[in-house]
Amino acid sequence: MDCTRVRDLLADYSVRILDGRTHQLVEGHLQLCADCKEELRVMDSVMLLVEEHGTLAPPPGLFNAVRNQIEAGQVTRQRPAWWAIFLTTPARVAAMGMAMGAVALGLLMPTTPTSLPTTLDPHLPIAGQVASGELSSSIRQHAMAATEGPLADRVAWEAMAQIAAQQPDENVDKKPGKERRVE
Amino acid sequence: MERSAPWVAFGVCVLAAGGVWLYRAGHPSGVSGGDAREIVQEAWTRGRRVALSGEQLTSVGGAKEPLKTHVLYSRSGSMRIEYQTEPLKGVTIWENGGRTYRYNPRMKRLTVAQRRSTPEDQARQERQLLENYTPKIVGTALIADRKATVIELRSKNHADRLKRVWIDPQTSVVLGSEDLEGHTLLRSTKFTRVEFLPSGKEPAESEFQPSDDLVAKYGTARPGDTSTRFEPEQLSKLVGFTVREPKSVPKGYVLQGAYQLPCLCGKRHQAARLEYSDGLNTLSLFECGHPECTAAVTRPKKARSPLAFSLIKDHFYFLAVGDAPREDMEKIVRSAAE
Repeated sequence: MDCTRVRDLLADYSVRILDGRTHQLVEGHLQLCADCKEELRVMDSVMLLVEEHGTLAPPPGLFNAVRNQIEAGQVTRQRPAWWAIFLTTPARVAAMGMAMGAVALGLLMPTTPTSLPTTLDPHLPIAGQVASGELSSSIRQHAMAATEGPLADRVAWEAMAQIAAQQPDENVDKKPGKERRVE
Repeated sequence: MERSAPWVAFGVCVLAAGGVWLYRAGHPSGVSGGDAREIVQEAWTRGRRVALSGEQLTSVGGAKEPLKTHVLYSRSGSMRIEYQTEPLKGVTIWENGGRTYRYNPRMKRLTVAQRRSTPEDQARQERQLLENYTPKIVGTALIADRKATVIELRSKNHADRLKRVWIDPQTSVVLGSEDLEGHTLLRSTKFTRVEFLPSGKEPAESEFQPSDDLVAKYGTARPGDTSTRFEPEQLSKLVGFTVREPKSVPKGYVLQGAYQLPCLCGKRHQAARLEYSDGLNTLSLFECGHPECTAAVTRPKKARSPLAFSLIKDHFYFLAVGDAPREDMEKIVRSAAE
């Protein structure tokens, strides 16, 4: 008989409820195996402790003393923790609802950047105002050159060239100067 | 633990939903295969060979209200633009076989010009565009009743420069275009209606050229609309002064060519225009070094334009015009004037 089998039978052996043949086999093993013998000793000591203290009764008058304290108002009710509200049934149901809502949002919420205009706003600020005068012919020339880029906004640049062409040329105030910035 | 399980599930679901949303934001649905770069390349190749008829709204400086236009394109690359609202009502642009006609009824003028860029120029500009700009798919949007892929092209050299295009995933046609500087819209053109024309319904070639009567009555070749391109040294001999190349140009910009044109002052002498591009935006530098030039001594009545910066130094006149930030234009002008 090996140690594992013997240890399974130790509890029954110690209270002598094994049949005679098995009892003898266990006993024979214990005489040879120090570990199993020690196991039996520990088990017997635990059983002894249980037998000594298992019948202890509460001191007389304990229940009456507790009752008297309650009736006298000496016991304060402990307040539940603030987070206990999250463990109530309605809160737990709400949590499940919000979990499902979060999943739905993740799947359905639009991902297009909000800065992306989907319609043309005619009131958007327009830069690049066409100037009159000498600039008009230069802007016309420039706009015509700009129409030829791979992704050039052809319609817009042609429009700028034509608007510039319609501006009157204004060359006035002819005064020489060494260096002057004209804007 | 059992009682707190719904809250644990809630936390897990919030995290999972956030992850799902972020994934969706980075991978917009409804976008056809390929990345932004491929979609953009398709737009300027396949998208330009689609026959269509449509209405557009265009916003540019100088027009208080968006301009309505009717556009017609053929499979061969011919096109017609008709402006339908003031201040350009009646203005029509035709382009076919490399020739561009521009008719302005208000000015009673029909100009004819050769299209300047060759296929090699186009290829070079396309390469430049992809070198200088980063395309990114930012979503999908409905435009002219079609679900278009929206792509933003951000300049690698100028953080606030941005172009946004709406590209039809089926045809690769650009259905909308916006040029922005920061939050300021510089130009915008969007289709409000588009009809793709099948093979049998393609417009006749006569649709892409003005009538003979119109050409006979108003036709003119306007000086300065020339297609002949020069190197700056060659141009110097033609215009009679040394064309100065700026030592500093904004990052990403490359000289595309030098052109001869009548001086802006209106005298009979010739001036020069140097053209720079970063693949998307163009910068023009006008120069005139003739002593008799009145542009160099002229102060315009109405002056400031965000598109332009000019400088006069020792009777040499410089004017930069373009979409570049003003400080860049000032830099290019001053470095040419040095």
